[in-house]
Amino acid sequence: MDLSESNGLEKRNGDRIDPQLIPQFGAPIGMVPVSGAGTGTASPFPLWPGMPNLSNPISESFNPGMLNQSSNKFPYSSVLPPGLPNFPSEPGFIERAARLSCFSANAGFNGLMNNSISNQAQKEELNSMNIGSGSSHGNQLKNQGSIDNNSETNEGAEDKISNGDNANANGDSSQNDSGSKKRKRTNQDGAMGQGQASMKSQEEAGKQTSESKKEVDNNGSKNTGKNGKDAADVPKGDYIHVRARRGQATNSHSLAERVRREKISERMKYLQELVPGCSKVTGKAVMLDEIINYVQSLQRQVEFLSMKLAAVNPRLDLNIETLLSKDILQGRGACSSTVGFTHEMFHSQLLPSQPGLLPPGLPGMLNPSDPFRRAINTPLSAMNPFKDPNPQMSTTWQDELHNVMSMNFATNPSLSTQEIATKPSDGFQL
Amino acid sequence: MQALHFLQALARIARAAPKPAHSARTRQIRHAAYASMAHSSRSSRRTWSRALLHRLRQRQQQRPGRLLTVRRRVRIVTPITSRPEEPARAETLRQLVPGGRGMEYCNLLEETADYVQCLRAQVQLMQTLLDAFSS
Repeated sequence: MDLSESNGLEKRNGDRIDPQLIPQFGAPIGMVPVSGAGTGTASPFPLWPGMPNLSNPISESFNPGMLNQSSNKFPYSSVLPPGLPNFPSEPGFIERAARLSCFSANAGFNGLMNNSISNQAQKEELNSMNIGSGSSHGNQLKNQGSIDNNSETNEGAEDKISNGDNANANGDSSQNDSGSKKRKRTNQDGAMGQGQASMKSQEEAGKQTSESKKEVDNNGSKNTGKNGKDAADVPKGDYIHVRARRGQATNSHSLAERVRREKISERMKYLQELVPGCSKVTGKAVMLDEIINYVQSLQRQVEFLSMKLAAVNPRLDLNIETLLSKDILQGRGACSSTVGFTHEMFHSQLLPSQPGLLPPGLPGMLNPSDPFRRAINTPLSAMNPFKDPNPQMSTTWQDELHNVMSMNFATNPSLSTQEIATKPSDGFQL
Repeated sequence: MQALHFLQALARIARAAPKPAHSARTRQIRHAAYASMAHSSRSSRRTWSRALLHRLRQRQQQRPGRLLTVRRRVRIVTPITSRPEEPARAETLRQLVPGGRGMEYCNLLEETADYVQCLRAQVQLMQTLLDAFSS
């Protein structure tokens, strides 16, 4: 029977099967239904997203007589659903299966899960491992040291597979909180939808398995309260096992909550950096108060300064007019244009007042313009905390300054270049 | 970009017939400050900048010749957006940041950060202008 089946399988798969795997099919036919019976009506194989009706055909296909019947559905008989990609090449498969088969602890399983290449490759391997573990032959691809675990881990592995599916569906297969958080954050949108879809499909067709999971409590259900919510948390051992236990709806909710909380805390941290004097403050409530106070004080400052500017303004109508009429700002870049403009304004402001004193006044002028320039530059640089400061800024700014100098003070080009060379370096602290 | 806009607005204000009313000028300058903030290149994508511009235009349209009318449209906004997880001060923050009413808390924080940056830049700009003008 084994031979015939193996032959049949070989034919079906077109020499893609690892010949060493073939005897396994003979074994689980006897074994898996036992385990399936042990878990009640649990389907021996987990369900993959998009294939909700897999359980029945798979369980059916375990009957030796029905192996041929399932061939039209599954290219690889009872093991893999048709949606999975090509069966991995033999040597690679042996490797991975060997790796997976030597899991004794669940932590090892997690590590192996991490080592696996892709979702579906994982499933394939786990599936085959399932089969392999089910058989108690001395097959090199089977669990060598833990046959007693096999029956246990059959369900455990199923759980793990589905949980792993959960994990993978959520884009999270790492062991760490932070890693899982990061992955969830990046894959959040797609993963959420996918995770929900997968979880729903699993829920529909796999309620029995979930029940069996709840019964088979390898890791202890003490972590349920925590891990039901924090799906990304890693309990000591079977974290994948625990994660999917708590009815998938709350799982997705809790995941969304968790991601949201992380986003909020990230933004709060950023705000903490922005608002001066908030690094020591901890706690969201106090931080929020500080932020509010800061925003209010800034707004009040704007009012106050506008008042003062209103008082000061009439004096400089002419200057502003002349400045604005000059066509310097040709869209060289926001920051540089700003800088050049203001600097030029500053210089030409002194033009009408002291026309004769300009050359000697040049170095003197540039000195007070330093804080001016710095003041202009620091808000500009502060605006881009996450972006690299525009390297063009300094060069175009120097060009602007050059223009200004050459236009206004043709008498001292050497001095101006000197100043230009020295000043920007210390003014431009990025 | 921000400074350019502000300076242009300032020039425009100065060019206009210098009203003796100090308060009117103040108002205009403040208006110009907020407008330049909203027009800065970084914040054109932001919700608060759009809301701010909208609010400014509203005020501008309302003001001429209708001093006795209601200054602000009374919006009965039920706190749909306030969720139980939010701290108590979130509502205050929403009132402070323009356009904060319709946002979730998460986006509110992001907008606040951007708003704070722009505000700070504006304040510094005005400060330096003041120093430049008065020195």
